[in-house]
Amino acid sequence: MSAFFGFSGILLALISSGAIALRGFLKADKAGLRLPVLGLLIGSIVAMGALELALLTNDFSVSYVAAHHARSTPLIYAIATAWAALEGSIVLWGLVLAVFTFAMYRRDRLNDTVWRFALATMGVISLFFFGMMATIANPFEVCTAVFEGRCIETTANVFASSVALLDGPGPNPLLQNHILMAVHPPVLYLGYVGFAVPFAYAIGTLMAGGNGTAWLERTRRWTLAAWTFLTLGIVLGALWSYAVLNWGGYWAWDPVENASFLPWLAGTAFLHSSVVERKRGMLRTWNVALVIATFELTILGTFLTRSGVVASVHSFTQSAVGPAILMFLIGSSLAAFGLFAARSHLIVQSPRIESLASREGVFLLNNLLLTVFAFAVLAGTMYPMLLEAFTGDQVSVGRPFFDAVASPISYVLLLAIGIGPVTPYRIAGAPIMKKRLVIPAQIALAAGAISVLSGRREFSVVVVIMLATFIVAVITKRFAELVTARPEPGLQAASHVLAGDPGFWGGQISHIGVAVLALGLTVSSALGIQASGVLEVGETITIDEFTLTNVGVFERTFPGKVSQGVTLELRRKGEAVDLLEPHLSRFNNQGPVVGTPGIHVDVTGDVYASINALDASDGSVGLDVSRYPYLFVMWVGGFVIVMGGTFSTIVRRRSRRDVAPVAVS
Amino acid sequence: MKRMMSLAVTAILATIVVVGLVQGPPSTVPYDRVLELAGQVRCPQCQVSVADSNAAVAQTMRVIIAEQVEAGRSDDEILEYFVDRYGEWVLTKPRRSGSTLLLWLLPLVGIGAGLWAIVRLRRVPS
Amino acid sequence: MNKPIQITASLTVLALIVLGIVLGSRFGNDPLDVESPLIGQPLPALNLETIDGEPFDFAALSGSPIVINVWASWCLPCRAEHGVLQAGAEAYQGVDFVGIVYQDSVSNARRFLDTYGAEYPNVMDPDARAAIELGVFGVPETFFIDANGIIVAKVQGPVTALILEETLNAVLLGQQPGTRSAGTVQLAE
Repeated sequence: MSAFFGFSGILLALISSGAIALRGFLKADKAGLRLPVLGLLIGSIVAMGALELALLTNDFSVSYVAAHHARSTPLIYAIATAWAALEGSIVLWGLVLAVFTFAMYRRDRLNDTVWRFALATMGVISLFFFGMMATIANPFEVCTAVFEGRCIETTANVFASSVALLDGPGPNPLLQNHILMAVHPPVLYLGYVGFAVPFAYAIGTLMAGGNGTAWLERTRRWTLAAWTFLTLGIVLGALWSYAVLNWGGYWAWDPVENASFLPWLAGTAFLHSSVVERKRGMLRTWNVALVIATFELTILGTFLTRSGVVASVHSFTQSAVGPAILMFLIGSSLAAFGLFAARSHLIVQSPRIESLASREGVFLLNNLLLTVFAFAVLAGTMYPMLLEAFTGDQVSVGRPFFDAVASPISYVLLLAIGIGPVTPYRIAGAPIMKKRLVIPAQIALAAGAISVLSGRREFSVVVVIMLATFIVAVITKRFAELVTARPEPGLQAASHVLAGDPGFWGGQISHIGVAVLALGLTVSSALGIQASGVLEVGETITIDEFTLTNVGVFERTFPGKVSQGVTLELRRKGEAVDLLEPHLSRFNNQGPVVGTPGIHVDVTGDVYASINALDASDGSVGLDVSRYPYLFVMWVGGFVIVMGGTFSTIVRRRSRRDVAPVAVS
Repeated sequence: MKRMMSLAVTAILATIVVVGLVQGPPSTVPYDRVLELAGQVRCPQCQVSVADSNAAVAQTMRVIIAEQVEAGRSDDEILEYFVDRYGEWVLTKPRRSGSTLLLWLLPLVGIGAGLWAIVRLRRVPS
Repeated sequence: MNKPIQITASLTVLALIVLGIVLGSRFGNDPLDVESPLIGQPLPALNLETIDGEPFDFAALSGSPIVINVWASWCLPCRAEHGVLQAGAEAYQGVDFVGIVYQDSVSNARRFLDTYGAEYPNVMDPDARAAIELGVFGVPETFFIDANGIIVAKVQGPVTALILEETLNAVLLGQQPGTRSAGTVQLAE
């Protein structure tokens, strides 16, 4: 049953995508697009719903369920299994795309040629994804023969007489070990797919032969929302990695992590350069190129994650999906950049930049750094493959390379974050810059001096403390000046200032988040310490001002999962503060053993304990223990960045009548 | 007078920071050569370095690094030990020479090209 | 069309085509297929004990070619391969076969040998030191050492009867077959 509904949904969505593309490119008014857009939405909802139904009703005649589900899988993970493996993740992708297409159809007020072509572009993208679902990545194949508890023959014919397994192997153990795994992929996809919307409007604008900045205005909130979701997705992914992968870290510069970071870098550059175009009409050609690059990087990210051409802790195994996405990546890039090259002469020429010492100048610096950052990360990710293809040499590119690139670029970016938002457009005169920057700079230097005097001598720590303080001081000073210049009482004035320019102030909230994140990241990694040892029962290991004592091992049985672990009593300066229970789990008696760390979270720093060996017979455990000072601060920073993005997306600018501008000299 | 004060404060604070940083780290965290080297050796069964992995092989490789550090071998000799067994693949920090020199130059090329484009944007009236 | 954009567009197209070819050529390749630098090098000294706790001396084997198979009881591809190696050990009487047990317990290894056969000696490598000496990525991996004690071939993944025969015949003829992939290796338990 669910196979029938699911496959019908996919076919409906596939046909509707084709119709959207055709009607959009040829000629159709809003009414003519109504049916296919609805068809795409309904088809994709039915497909996702049928997949969930199949999982929740233990319908092991469906190939996807047979391969990735088990009766004993707890409810929340059974729901999340729908996107935990290759085919299902593409169904989710299609659903997000359909919802966005529908929203584009509903929310656009102009319904002009640009909009029509943009919808058609979305139609082409969904045609590809639903095409994959209907053929090489069909989760609704019917199992027709089983052998040794596995489905060995499947058919796409949903009417074939099916054989059902009694039970399946369950989802990948790493993916049923933490609740974040249910949340992280959908959020990331909302970000990835969200960038398809500004991309589609840019393509629509080029095709319609139009020029102008209208497409940026129309997609401003889309872009902000996509960027916010992508940021949240990356933060949640890092949090998952930290809480689940058991190696004590959150970011490994792994190809798949880089794959999500690349569109973020390009998208962040686009977010900033689009401000320059909307305010000053500059960088028009660049913005189109950048949004195309951002979209193609989301497809590259999908490719790297789904194809198995790079070894990664996160990647799915090899299948025909890899070559298909590669073809789409190359094909769509050629089409988009080709169209861009052919039509770029229609884009109205930008006015000349008056001075590099201006807001525009800082935006250019921001774009230069983010683009080079993205280019370097891309180069580092692809270099081993390129080198092997050309010379046969096999090399690796890991953390030392990426850190070496990221650190200097990040320092300059942080400096630019501090200076940029208070730099006037056109030409920034020295007096006004002095007035806005000298005191914050002195506060930053004071923070640096205090940390040096209190014994901190690590270059990265001192520099980032100063830069982060500088950013916060500049923004706070500017905000305070604007608030006190208003006649209303304090709180009301503050809310009027914020609402007067939500785009700007949301950005500043995110900037403060970046400063806080940089601080937590730098301090926790530069001052982090490790210890390891084998603990018999009753023995103790010391790290910093903490001790951990082995008070005994345990074994716990859950449905479909057996965990062995150790209870560690954590004492800080002799005082008991927490019990940590790092453990090793085995799912459904098969697959690899999955380690889960025991983490004591504290604002001043985490204690992270993971088991590397456990002997249940005598209760001895091999432990790796780490102390990460102020790591918590990093997560706070991450969520503040997301808050800023949300603020800019949701809060509408109050009209001039409500908030009379007050000049601040 | 106020300006002089401000300038003096800035100068004093800057001097403290610069002197402190130049003095280098007599810091509370000891410089851990073993961990530093472990970060440059890739774990054969994972995608990360042996510093970032706690797979059994990675642990043994850290022990081997510690033994060789103890025995007074140089960083290059220790890395070479692993290269002799796993090939250049085992280095997470590609060498700044030979076929991986280009990788290190690429970010610089990117910065150069970007700066050139910005300068051009400023000069050429469009 | 203006000139810089034309140039940039052409470069982009070129880059995309190169990218496509490079990425396309990777399909079907195991990302962990790495050439072993040990080919042509003498077999390193390995201090290991047999599964029964006796010291085992690889140097005492010199004079005849050696096949060293690295395996584990938790490794699925090792099971199918094990029978091939047992048959090989019987067919090639002039060749010494040795198994190295990787990241495994003696009891599990013994149960595996009881099930799948034990034609030749097996040595334990509890902390994976021998595996690191041999540059092992995962299991199974099989090394071929010629009569002079030089490593001349390495097979990653499970050997088949054909691969074993081809490689051994080449080794017996004094050739150096080098690294070869026979499928994926299992990385860890």
